[in-house]
Amino acid sequence: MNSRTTMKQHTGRLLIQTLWALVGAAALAVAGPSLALHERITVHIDGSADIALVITRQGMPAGPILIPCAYAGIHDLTSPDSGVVVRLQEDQDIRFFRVEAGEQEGRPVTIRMVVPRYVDWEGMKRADFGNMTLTHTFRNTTPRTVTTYRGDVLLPEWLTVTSVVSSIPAQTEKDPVSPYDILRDGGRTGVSIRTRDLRPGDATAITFRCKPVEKSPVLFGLFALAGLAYLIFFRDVLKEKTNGSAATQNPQP
Amino acid sequence: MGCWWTGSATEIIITMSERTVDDLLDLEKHKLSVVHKRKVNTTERWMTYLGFPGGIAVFLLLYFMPTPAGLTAGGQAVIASFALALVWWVTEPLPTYVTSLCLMALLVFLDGWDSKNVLGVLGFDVIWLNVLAFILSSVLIKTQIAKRIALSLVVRFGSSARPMLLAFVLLQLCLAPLIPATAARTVMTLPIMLVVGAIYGATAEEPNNFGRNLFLQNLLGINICSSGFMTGSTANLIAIAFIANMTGTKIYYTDWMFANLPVVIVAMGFAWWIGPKLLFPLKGATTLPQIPGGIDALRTQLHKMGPVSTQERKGAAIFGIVVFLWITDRFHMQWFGFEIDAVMAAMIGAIITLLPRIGILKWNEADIPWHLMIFSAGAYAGGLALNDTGAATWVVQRIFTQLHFGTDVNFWVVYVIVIAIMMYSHLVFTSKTMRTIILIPFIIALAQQLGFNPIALALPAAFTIDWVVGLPISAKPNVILFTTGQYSVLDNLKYGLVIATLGVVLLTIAGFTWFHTLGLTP
Repeated sequence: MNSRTTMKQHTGRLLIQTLWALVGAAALAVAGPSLALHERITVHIDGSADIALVITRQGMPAGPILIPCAYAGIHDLTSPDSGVVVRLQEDQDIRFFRVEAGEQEGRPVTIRMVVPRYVDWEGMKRADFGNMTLTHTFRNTTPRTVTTYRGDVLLPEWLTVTSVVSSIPAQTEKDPVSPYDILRDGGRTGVSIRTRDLRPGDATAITFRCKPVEKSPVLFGLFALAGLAYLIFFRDVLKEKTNGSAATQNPQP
Repeated sequence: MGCWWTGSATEIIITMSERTVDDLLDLEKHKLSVVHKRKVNTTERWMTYLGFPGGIAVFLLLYFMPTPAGLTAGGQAVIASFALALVWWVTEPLPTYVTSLCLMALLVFLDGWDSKNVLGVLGFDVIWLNVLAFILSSVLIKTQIAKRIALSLVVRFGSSARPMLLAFVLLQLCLAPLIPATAARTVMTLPIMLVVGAIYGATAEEPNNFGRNLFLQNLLGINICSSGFMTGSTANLIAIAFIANMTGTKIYYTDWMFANLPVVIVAMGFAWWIGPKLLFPLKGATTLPQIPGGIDALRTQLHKMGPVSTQERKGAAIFGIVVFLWITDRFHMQWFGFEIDAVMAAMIGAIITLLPRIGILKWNEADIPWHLMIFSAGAYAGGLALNDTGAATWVVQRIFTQLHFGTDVNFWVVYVIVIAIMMYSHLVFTSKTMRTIILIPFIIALAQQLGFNPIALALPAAFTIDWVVGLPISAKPNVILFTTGQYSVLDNLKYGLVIATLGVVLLTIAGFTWFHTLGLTP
């Protein structure tokens, strides 16, 4: 058998591939421009949301940059970073954030805003168990590729994530790493979606169900009672049965 | 007068003996569709008594605790429900199929998995394969093929229990490369096991240690012999695909076989020794056939069966067609333009079997244990819900996160832990495919992160995929063999845990020696 040789050849090939990957990544980091976005949406009980967007760009020419904006009725659009100027810009019904980094050029820039009606809890359709379905979508409406995107949606404390219904990109056998996480931040739960290389027009999205956190104390009581009742009324289980040991529970005719 | 009396007495004795032998070998009387009540010992009675409230306590604790980070509320409900079912399956305060129904109801009522998904499990190919396999198994029983093969085996090897058990080890090793589908191998050998078990006095009503050894050893053989070959199961191929995609290294059929088949053979040898010696000891009379007249009576029985009947030929032909389709699956595309998978091959066999005039069985003669289908459906629903809600991934992530591997960690420490996690994880995963999809990419990523050759960890981990011997819900053959009533869930768990530990030890030793010689491990 020449498996030993095969395995060693494989190891060699693996090393070469790893080296190539490292060289490729380094080259990309040096030469290629990259734009990373991290959006954090904190939804409140009244349906409003505080949104923080961290923009990290590397290797891109200095000057203002356009970032896709999917929200309407934005309030209090600011940046905590000194010298950063951010304003909303609309072009053929498509909204953008126009960000001028100023003295923050080359460093991550954070912009913050408030969206008063991010969710209409009252008008939202409720399914079984009080479940509501929410979708967070980010579409790259700019002509520039977004190298990495991460979007976190944190729910109010009275809600919890029941399940993730779907995501873009989806987890597949070919790409087994889950593109989303379930978050917990203090008393809040939420979801996080991440993706790479969003070309112009591409979108990433996550659809999830959420429901009120409370669990029925009746259920607790019923189960506890059932357990106790079994201990009391099924004591005969402990007795050795001398006859009928071979009896069938549902003998056939 | 005396002569008449003696003659009559002898006649009576012979008639009684023959009736006993006939009764024991008449599998129509040991129907799998009938649920038998087993004799239980004191420990099992206490487990049953405490199992019900114990399961509830575990459920309440897991369900009402605050939802941990990274887990959805649905995932938490599924973990709690599955834990409850696991405790009840092992301790059996309720019949296993009732526990499955409870699990399915809980999944829906607690918003873990929706009812459409839960109810849909009964239509899965695995359930269909079980139903069709039992129809085919009934053919072997009705036509007496199983009885003839079993009697021939016992007459040749069955003078005592150990050579008989060894014969089954060899049988499983021979069948594994020919028929990849484990359910198919189970259904082929199950009727033979039933006859041999009956000869050694093991029935569903009165299980004994020979039956436990025979059925659990075959359960092990059917499962782990698949791990000797890359094509032994779909999950093996998925693992290979992950290794190829994520590391760029192709593993060949012979790489896999040369590395792992020796481990499988050694494991089977150990299991053959360890079962009757330590786990379910065979002593004195239990090592001999329990038939009046012993081997001679069985030889007489075999002789009495006469030449192979037309019914037997017909049954063998039908079974032959199905086995042929199972063996030649890789050529179907070339021959027919489409692939006939294991389920459809079994369906073709079932159709021929049930055809009026041409076939062998009437519907009422097909011995289909529906309680098993319900039990399986519940187990699969629980397993799939664990996967669908991300709960299984979360558990695995938590385990690896808790381990806190530093970059200076020794390769062998990681190797043993990875093999152990992969091995014992079959107790909570009801699907080998899901287990592979979740764990193998994790292991590859872990190896890359720690700077080890990913294949040195991922390939030995993949060798454990088919070691699914811990519980009746762990794999298809386990579910099928459990219906025989020859062993309890606790027997299965005890055997499975010992064998899984043996597997970890063997793969660790192989890692130091054989795999190292092959250049697989450093």
